[in-house]
Amino acid sequence: MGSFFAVSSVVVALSTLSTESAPLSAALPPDAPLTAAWTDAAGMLDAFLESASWATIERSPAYAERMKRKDMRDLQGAIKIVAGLLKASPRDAFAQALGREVAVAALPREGKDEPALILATRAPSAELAETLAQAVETLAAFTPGDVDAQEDDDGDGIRSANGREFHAVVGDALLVANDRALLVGAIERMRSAGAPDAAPAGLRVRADVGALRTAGLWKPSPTSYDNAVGALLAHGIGKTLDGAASLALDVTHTQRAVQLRVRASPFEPSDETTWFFPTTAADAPLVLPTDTIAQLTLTRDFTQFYALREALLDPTLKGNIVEFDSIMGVLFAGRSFGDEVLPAFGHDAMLIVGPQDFSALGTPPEVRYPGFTLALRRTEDGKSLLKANDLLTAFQTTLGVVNADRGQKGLESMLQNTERVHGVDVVSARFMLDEGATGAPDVRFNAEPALAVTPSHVFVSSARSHLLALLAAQRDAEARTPTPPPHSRFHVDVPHLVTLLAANEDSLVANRMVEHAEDKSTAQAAVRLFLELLRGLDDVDLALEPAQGGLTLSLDVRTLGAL
Amino acid sequence: MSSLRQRSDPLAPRGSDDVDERAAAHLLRRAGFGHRRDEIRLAVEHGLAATVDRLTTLDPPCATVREFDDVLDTIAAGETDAVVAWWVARMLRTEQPLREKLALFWHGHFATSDAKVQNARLMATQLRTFLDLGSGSFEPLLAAITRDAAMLTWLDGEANRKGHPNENYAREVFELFTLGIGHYDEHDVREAARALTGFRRAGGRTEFVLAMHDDGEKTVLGRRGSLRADDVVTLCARHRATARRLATRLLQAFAHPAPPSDVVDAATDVFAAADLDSLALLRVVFRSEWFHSNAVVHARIASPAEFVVGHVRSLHARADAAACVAAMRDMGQWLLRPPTVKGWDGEAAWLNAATFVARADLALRIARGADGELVRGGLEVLDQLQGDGETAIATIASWLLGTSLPNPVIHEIAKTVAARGGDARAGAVGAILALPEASLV
Repeated sequence: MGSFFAVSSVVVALSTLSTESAPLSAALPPDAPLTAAWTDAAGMLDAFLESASWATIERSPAYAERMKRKDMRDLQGAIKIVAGLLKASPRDAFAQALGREVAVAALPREGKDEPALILATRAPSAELAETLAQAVETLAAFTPGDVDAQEDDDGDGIRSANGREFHAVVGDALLVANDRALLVGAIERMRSAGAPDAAPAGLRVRADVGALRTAGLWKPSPTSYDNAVGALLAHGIGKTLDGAASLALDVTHTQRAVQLRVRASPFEPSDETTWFFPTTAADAPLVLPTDTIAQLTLTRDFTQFYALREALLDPTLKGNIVEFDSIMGVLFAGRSFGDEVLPAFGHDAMLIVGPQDFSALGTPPEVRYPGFTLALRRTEDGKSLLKANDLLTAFQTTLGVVNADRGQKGLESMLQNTERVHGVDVVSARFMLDEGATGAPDVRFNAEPALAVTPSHVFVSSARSHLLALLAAQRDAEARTPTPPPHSRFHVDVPHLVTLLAANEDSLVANRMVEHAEDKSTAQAAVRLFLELLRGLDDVDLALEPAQGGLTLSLDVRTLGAL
Repeated sequence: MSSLRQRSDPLAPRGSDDVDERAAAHLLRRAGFGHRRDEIRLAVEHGLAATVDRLTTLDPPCATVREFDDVLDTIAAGETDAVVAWWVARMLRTEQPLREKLALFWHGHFATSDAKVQNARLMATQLRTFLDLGSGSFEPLLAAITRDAAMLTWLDGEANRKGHPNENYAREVFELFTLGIGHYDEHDVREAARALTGFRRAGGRTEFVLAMHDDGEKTVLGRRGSLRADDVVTLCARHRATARRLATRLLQAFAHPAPPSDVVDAATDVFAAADLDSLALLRVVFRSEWFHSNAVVHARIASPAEFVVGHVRSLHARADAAACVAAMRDMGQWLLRPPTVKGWDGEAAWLNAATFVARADLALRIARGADGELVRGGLEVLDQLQGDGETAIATIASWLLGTSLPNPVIHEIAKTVAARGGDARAGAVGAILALPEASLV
């Protein structure tokens, strides 16, 4: 390693050239298939480190234990070295080293497994950029390398501590690469670049999917799935990514929210994915009870999906498919599930999760599950294919089959019930409490399957009380403007989720004790930490929307307090 | 003097109360799972008698056992695999591992499989019976199992009704659970089946329905009368053949797969005199000269449960119970799902090409200790070991295997570890546990 003083004088000379304000993006090779830029990372870090969530994590035993691990101790050691050189606290050192603007690029290297990497970071001043360069040299000295390959600045501003990393200071920027030629090109581009654009705060990652594919770094999506849910959730996404030219990821934050957007473009549905991206008409949306915990909406052409089931699902599932067909035939009085049942419904299906009302039991079960209700839209044409009574009868047949199976295994059966609620016929079934039973009923009392058919929807639920709450919400709803359903959306109301989880804390602790072989106090601390972290969140929204030009996946996490 | 005593009493106590590290590790492995360094140190410090007393004192249950007992009902509301994970978590955490080990023994003895029972709650209830009664006298345990709802399902007890006897349970009680072949005849089986009529499942419990019971006269093992289930239990439990059979099985499980006949004779006497109390017999065995002889040390092949839980405990590693269960299954032991009513064959049958690879794979996973893997972190115990390079490998091997490895083997391990890279001492642990010697207990 060369003398710091000698190097510094050269750096000062370099920094006075003309590149003090050159944009960091200029340093990145234009043909890099993968680039990332992070502006104002310090702001995001500050927001996180000052949040209540971080305070909770920091005082947790799990955090203390994690920090004792060797990899964490090594990381802390490295941060301390950098902080010592910068004469700053670790947090300020991060802000100075990476907190303003960072840009990274990766390129494949012929004949090598490891890609060529370059990182550029903007320090608060040219002097601090030089100090960072010294920190790089200090850290690189810990990594074994080719001592003979060490080099001092020989006029082009490039230095190396071990012949494996190369770095240079250009104005207020420090550039580090694992390939000398890459660094040379970066310096030249920065020198000839103009003034930087004002980069928006946040993290931006861009990938040239075509180039990654050519380099063998892109794995094609699966051709078939080992379960239907996987295909319904992912098939169209995988196929879109397979045909995408570029992928853009943006992470931004405000005081009370973090947003993540991933956009694949171009988006061109093919014959293979027509069922995944069906055209849909606007219709009156469902009204959900205010205490809804979560909802998942999927808009798919389920009829077409079912017609393609043998192609979409793993060949090993063929037996299960045949069995499913035959069971559906029994339940729907010989009707074809693909031709006479599924076409009776619209393209949007919604799964709603909400609390159950256990008041009829007196004491709630020892473990309290929420109710899960699937809502399928009935189409006008479909009503002639499948009448309300057909559905009610099919449900009763299902309950009969379940009871027969349980009876064969010596398990308790359910009593069936039909009733008319809010003008709607409801079929349900429930377990009976034992005569003279005391204490909390067991977990099976979470199940009270029910089905209701309204003119617009079929509701199938794991819990009658949840289904009744949904029916009440529709009855009380005001006129709704027809809107197209979202393509795919998963929304969680975190405070309601926390209420449910807190009611099941004992069960969560028990499960954690078993899963991680922990004693009760350790498991309890971990569960409480998890709940505490959740209490800081307001809601989480994950959505997928196809649009002209691109398919966008967005994740929005909103918090109750400042981040 | 000592040899004279041994000739007259093959289970005579050791002449000296002193134990070295090797003897302490042997005792800990047999009375529990693995041998932690701190436990070895304590045993050496306190001596044999005090250590045996500590290991065989299971009342009151330790705090961990009580905590886990409290959550079994919640866990049993799910799948049977969760009940197995609950048990393995207890094995990993308990300060009284002999209770778990005896439960494991009785689970293999009264082998009942969820493959037929298909009810987590019933399997959990049976398991709790093994844990609660397995370390006491045999007769209450047999009485409980005779009424056990999982056993009732497993051996068709519900089909055993007045006028329509089903002999499955009666036959297995005589053949497998108590006397053994040669001590009863077909008439005993038929009559005992009649005496065992009247039980049926009511939810998670078993109830006795007098109307379903054959209250007529029967003769079982020479005793005549209007016999009921409790009479069959008493007749079987108090038969000398039962004492001998169970004493042999306990010796095989805790000492030597083929115990000498004079040791079996002596153990039978001790067991019978102690009202077939397992702990009473094991106390005598663990203190005996024979138990600490070279013929017994490392004479057994660790069952998958002993292998997995033992090594994880020895290393103070933190493990996911469900992952441990899966590893045991890969090694041929699916707890609560024994292959037949005879349980697992054990010993040499544990090892074949596939199960040996599964053991070696587990060794590497323990050594890696990566998040989300079988073991989450841990291995800090290695920091306590002195030495570097081959010296460290020799120290680790001596501790983990309870025996010294020849220098060429240590040299080979050092070369393998160096070639693999990464944390050298963790790598050495992986290589050592993959050796055949690591399967001996």
